[in-house]
Amino acid sequence: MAKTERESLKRRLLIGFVLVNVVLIVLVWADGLVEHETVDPSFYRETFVFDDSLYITETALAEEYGFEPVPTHEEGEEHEHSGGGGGNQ
Amino acid sequence: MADTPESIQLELQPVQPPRRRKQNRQRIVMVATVILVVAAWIYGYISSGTDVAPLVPEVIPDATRVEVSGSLFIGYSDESDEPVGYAAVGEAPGYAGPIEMLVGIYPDGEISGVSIVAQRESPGFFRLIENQEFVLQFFGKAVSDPLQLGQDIDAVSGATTSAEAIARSVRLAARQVSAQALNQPLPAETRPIQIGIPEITIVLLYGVGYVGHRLRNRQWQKRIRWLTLLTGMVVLGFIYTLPFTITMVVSLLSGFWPDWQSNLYWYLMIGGIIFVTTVDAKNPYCSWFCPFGAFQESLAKISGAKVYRPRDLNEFFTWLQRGLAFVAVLIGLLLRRPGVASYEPFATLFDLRGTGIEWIFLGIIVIASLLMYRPFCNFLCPLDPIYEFIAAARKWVREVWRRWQKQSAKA
Repeated sequence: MAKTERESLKRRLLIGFVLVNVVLIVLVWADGLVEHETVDPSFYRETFVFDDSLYITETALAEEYGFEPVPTHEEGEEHEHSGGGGGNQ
Repeated sequence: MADTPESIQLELQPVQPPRRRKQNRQRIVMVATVILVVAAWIYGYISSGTDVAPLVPEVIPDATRVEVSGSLFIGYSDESDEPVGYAAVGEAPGYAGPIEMLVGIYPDGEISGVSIVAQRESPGFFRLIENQEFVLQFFGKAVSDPLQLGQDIDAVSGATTSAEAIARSVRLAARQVSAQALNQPLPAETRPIQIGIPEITIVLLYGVGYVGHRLRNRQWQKRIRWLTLLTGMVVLGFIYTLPFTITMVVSLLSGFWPDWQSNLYWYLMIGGIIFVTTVDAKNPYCSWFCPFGAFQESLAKISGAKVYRPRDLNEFFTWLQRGLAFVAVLIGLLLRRPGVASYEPFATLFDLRGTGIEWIFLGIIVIASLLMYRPFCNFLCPLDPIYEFIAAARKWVREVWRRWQKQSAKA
C-alpha cells in the first residue's frame, strides 16, 4: 500500500516537474520576444527629410540600364558620388 | 445434434502489426513536420528584412536630407550642398546569425554614429551588449583605426562572439565608406583559420567517443565515457561555453552559415553530429560529451539517482519533448532569429548568466538531477528529438533504397 502511494506521489511529482518546466520554457521564449529598451545612440530629429520614393527607386534601374549619372553638384566641386547610381536626388 | 455448416468462409483483412502502424503514424508526422518547417522558413524569409533608410538620420546627425548611391547613403544639410556625412551597412556572422550594423561617417573619416540594423542573437547575450553601451566605443574613431576587439575596442565579457561580429560589421561598413566616398581604400580583411583548444577538443572527443563506444570491455568503455563526459563538461562547458544548442540547428536551417575560417568549431560540431548520426545511426554527442548531460550525470552519480520514466507516460513525455523542439524550431524560422529559439539553461550554468526565469529553470533541473537521472535530457531537451528525426529519416531512406534495389533486381 505504502509502495503504491509512494509510486503515485513520484508520478505526480514527475508530471509537475515537467509541466512547471514547460511553463518556464514558454516564459523564456516570451521574454526573448519582448522588445527591451536599449541604450542605442540615437540622433533622430523630426525635421529630417527622407524621400521614400527616392529610396525605393534607388539605383537598381539606373545601374541595370546603365544610365549616366546626373551631376548633383556644381562643376568644380570635388566630391563625387560613388557607386554609379547617381541622378536620383 | 446441431447442424454444422460444411464450410465457414472467412474474409481475412491484412492487419498491420502495431509496430508498423506506429511507424506509419510517425512518418506522417515527419512529413507534416517537414512541410510546416519549410512553410515557416518561407514565411520567415519573405517577412524578414529591415528598411535601413529610416535609421540613416540616427547615424548622420547633421543631415536633413539623404541620397542613396549604390550601397552608400549620403547625407546633406539644408545649409550646404556638400555632404555632411556618409553611411553604409556592414554585416558579419554572430553567434546565431548575421549581425548588420549601419555606420555613419563624417567627411573627415570620423565615425559619427552606429546603429544595429538586425541581429539574431540569444536575447540574454545581446542584452549584455546593449546594456554595456558597447557600440558607444566606436563613436569618434577614425575609419583607418583598427576597430578590433582587444585593440581599440573593449570586448563584452560573456558575449564575445556577438561583440566581435559587431566590431567586424562596423569595420566592413567603415572600409566601404572609406573606399567609395572618401577615396581612401583600406586593405581588405584577412580571415585566418581559427584552430584553438575548442576545435582540437571536439575532434578528440569525436575520435575517443567513436573508439570508446565500440569497445567490448564494458569496464574500459565506462571509464572512457566518463573521461569524455568530464572533458566535455569542463572544456566545452565551463571554460568555453560551447555546447550544441537548438540555436545552431535553427541557424543551420535558416541558412545563417558563418564563415568557416573563424567558425570552424561550429562546422565541426554540427557536421560531426550530422555525419555520425546519418552514417552510423548513433548519437555521438548526448551520452559521450554533452557538457550539460555530464553535469546532470555527475549529480546523479553523487546522489545515486536512477532513471525514472513510467512506462504508461512514455508516449506523453516523448511527444511533449518533440513538441517543444518543434515549437523552438518554428519560432526561430518564423522570426529568422535562431537565438530566440533557445531555452536550454546551458549559458545560465556555464556562464552564470541568465534572467530570473532562467535561474529558476536551472535550479529546478539541478534539484531534479539529484533525484533522477538526466531529467533535462530525458524530458525537455530539444536536441534529442532532432537526433531521433535524423535517425528515423535515415531508416526510411534506407528502406526505400532497399525496396528500389530489390525491384530493379527483379526487373
